[in-house]
Amino acid sequence: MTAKPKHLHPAAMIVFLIQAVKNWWLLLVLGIANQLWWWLLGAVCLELVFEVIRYVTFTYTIGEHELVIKSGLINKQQSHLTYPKIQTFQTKQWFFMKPLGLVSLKIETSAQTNNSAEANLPVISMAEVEQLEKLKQNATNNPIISEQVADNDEIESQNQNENIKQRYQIKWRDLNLYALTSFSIVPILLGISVVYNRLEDILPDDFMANIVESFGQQTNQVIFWDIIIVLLLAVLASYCFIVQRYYHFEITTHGEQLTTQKGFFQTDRVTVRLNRIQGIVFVQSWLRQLLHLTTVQALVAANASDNEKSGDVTVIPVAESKAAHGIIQRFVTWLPLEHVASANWLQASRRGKWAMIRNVGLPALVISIIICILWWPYGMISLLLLPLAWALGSYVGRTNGVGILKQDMLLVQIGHFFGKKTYYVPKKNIQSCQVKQSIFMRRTTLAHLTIRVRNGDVETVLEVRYLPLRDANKIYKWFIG
Amino acid sequence: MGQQLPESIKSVWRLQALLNLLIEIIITVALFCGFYFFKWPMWIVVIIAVIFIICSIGEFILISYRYQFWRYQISDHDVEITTGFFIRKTTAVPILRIQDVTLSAGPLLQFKKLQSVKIHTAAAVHEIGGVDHQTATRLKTKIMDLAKEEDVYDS
Repeated sequence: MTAKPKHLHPAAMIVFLIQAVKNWWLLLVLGIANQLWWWLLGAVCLELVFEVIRYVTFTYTIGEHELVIKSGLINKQQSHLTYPKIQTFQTKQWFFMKPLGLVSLKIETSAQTNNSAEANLPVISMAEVEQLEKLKQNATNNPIISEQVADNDEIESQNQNENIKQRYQIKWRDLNLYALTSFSIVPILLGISVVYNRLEDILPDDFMANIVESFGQQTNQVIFWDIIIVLLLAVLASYCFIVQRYYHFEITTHGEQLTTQKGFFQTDRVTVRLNRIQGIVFVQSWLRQLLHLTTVQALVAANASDNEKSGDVTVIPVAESKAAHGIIQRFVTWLPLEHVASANWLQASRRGKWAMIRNVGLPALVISIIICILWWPYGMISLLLLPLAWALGSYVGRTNGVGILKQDMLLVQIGHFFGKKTYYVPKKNIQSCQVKQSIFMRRTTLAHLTIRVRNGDVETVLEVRYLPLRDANKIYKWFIG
Repeated sequence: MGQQLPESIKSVWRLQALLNLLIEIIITVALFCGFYFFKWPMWIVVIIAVIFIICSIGEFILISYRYQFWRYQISDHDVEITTGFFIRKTTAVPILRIQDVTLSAGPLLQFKKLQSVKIHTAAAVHEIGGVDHQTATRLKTKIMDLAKEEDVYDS
């Protein structure tokens, strides 16, 4: 085991460059479009100097008890991480790093930081990641005898192989279903419009004018087909994007660790300790609900997801609703084997359901009346909003509910736009419970029940609205009792 | 049910409301100057002034309600906080879930020898508006003792 400070692998320069291009692509395009070659050359040289300085000053040391990272030339930084405090390992591997056996690694501890990883090693070898993981496991298993680590290496690695308890890999069919049933076409269309707006600013005016003119000469029909083609391309792009992102999705458990792995161009791997999982969510959008498909996510009390704000880690991108419980139960053993209707499933009373319909219906009514007045008579079409609002309200009323499972687990179901999220949260992971009642609800003896759960660095608030006060209090009593 | 906040919190809230009123008056005066020198429309100033006045009056009236309906209760297992009359909220936080406790006091609270107690769980922060030093310290020690007994997350 080396305790000497090391530099990153030279390939780090390429990763730094990719990052730089990602950050400055707009200026780059602008420069090329306006043919400012000398400026560009100067900027690239400056950037390269920065890269070299960053590379030279960045060193890390894998010690016996801690990991030390030093960086910076003017503003020197030195961070120390002790192994037992490490919560998650997150690695990303670009395709060109695969043959070199390199990855970029992010390490998170339980400390509250501003959404940035505690330690970021842009390029290190796979072997070193494994070494770190092993050091961490040893440190948690026997915090005192960490001196024997070096001798135990061989035995440990054998143990690890035996410890692979469960493995699940997504089937090609499921992956296709997932890509086809997700709605990421909307962000892609938004992206196209943003890029278009920026292009308008960047590209020379006469170029833009030419395009617009050539459009102007087309007939309406041609423009219509152009739009259809753009839409189809967007759908195809979103499909490809999702497929490459979840390509070879796989989850495994190693003893107390859960690892998910995915991606084609960039392989993402996240390792989380099982006891950091705060709850499991079954998510169904309306489309997936129609097709009896479910996505399973874990709420993790550590910064572990791509989206740095939340700790949602997708455990199963998509599976048939019937099978999902069976698959996930192999990894998270405290879950029930199938969707059990709780013996006392508590839902909004008839009055509460009416209140939910009213809450959606009234704004819809106001909006459609305004539209009717402003755009008479075509505004009448907006009256279609009313049955939709009614359906939404009554759907939410029928779907929302809360129940106690096996004395120590809470099942919360929340409907949203004809989709639903079903949360399984063990009692020990519920941070607080709140019963809320406004003065108008006192007459009807209804109350909102709010459950707070940790998720990532933030909280997830589960609110079951318009329960009968008696039922809300039942859950409250169960929680404090 | 539960314990009320000390009586002196009412004067703290009153002072707070007074300070808010002062700030609102300053803003209104500034707006009026804007109207005078830059020819801003008068009706905006009037509307904002009316909103401020209503807010202030509401704040002063609601102080005694706020006091009446703010209760807290600390048992061996949990902290319960009840607030509000128009929207009544009852919150329970088990002591084992409490990560840390912050005692803080701004100048107003210090003046009345009170401290506000903020209870941090892994997810959110819950506040007991103001209690005397003795209660605050008692609560802190109790939570610390219980936290010592059981390690919530191993490491």
